[in-house]
Parts: sequence; structure tokens; C-alpha cells
Amino acid sequence: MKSEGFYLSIEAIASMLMLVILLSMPLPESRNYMQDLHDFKKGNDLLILWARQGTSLNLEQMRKDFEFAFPGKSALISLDSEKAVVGKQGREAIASKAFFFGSALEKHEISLAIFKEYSA
Amino acid sequence: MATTAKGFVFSLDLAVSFTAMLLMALLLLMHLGIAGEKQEIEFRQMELNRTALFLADSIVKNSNPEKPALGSAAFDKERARVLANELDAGLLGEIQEMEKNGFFIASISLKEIGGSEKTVFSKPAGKNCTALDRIVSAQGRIAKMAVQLCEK
Repeated sequence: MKSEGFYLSIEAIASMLMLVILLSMPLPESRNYMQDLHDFKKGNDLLILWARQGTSLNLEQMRKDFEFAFPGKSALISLDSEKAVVGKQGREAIASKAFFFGSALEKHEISLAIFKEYSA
Repeated sequence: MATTAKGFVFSLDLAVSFTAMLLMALLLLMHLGIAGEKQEIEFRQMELNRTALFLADSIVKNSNPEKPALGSAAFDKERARVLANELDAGLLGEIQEMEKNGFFIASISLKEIGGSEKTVFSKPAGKNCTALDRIVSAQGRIAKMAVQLCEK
């Protein structure tokens, strides 16, 4: 009896399986896992210093401080109802908020949202 | 005449395919080895970054006259509290060698907004280093404090 077919030996199956496993296992990429936490802490540093300045704070100064602290980065900064975008607005951000009180105990709110950047 | 003989049957194609399988197994083990080594390096780098982050945090959030490398923030005696992110120039100038978990501080520098960078502490750098900065207030002005941490 003559029959056509495809013969596959056990060791060939094992070899092909190993080849598939080898090709499907990529090497881990280098990433800085602490970058977000670092940006978050730096952002909080700025908020603490801004809150300490109190009512003498203004949006223009906040913009300059942010550009000094985070060169090349973008953010959305706000002081009470005033808002300003530094750089290009992004989608994802690391955001923090702080409050301080004026001399008449009026509440002021400052917030900072640092836009995340993804490297290519 | 039928004969029965015991022994090994050797075929060339079987030998070749078996060798190919062993080669595949070797390649797989080598790949796993490389991936494992890379992960170890990544883990060490993550530890370095984490230690640097926490050390910098400690410098700006704590006040430790005995070990200024662990706390250089100003202390408000009247209110009896640490002024986070406000550096005490005296404590900063007294920073000495600091080592933790196989890492050491290589340098600390301060750059005021609109000013030049000043090195507060410096030591020869190690083989693998990381640097990060924090925002502080130094003598009433906003400044960037950069900390460089190296592996021993």
C-alpha cells in the first residue's frame, strides 16, 4: 500500500517546539521604573514650595519655576481658577494638588499635572 | 532463515535530527541564560535608582545634624518641625561620605534658578552611577539639588 503523507519524528517535533519557544521569548527591554515616581516627587516639591510662597504666588512665576525644574517637559498648572499649559498638552499625566490659606483664611488651590512622555 | 540479533540500529538521519534537537536545546538554554543575566542587571539598576530616589528624599525631607547626608532640611526650632524642601546651608556643607546597600554618594550639587551649579560634595565616581534632582529652596530661592549615586 502506498500512501502519501507527512512524516514527523518525535525529535523533530521537540526541535520545532524549542525553536518556537526560543523565538517567542523576547529579551527584556531596559526601562527606568522609577521615572514616574521621580517626576511625582519633584512635582510635589514644587507644590510645597509654591504653597509656602502663599498669596504672593502668580501663574507666570509658576510657569518659570516649572520650566526650570522640568526642562523640556509639558504640564498643566493652575492657581485657583487660572490655568496655563506649559509646552504641549498630552494625554496621560502625573497630577498633584495642594492647598494653602491666605491671611484671611481664604483657601487657595494649586495643581500641577506633568504630562508623560514615551520614548520611541 | 530468520535470525534475531540484539544490538543498536544506527541511522544517519536519526543521528542528524537528534543533533539538531540537542542544538535547539542548547540555543534555548543560552537564550535563557542571556535573559537571566539581563534581568539581573536590570534589577541592580532598579535598586540603584530606588536607593538614589529615597536618599534624595531623605536629604530634603529630614533634618539630621549627626548625619547630614540623611537629612539636610532646615529645622524650625520655634515650631519644632522640619521645613521640608528648605535646605540648611550649614548642614549641606557638612555632608560627608555616605554608603548604603553597596551604593555610595558620589556628588551633590546645587543650582539656583538663574544661577550656576555649585558642587557641595564630591567623590570619585564608581563604575555604575545614576543621578537625579529634587527641587528645594536654598537661601530663599528655588534651586535644583542633584544627587549622584554610584555602585561600589
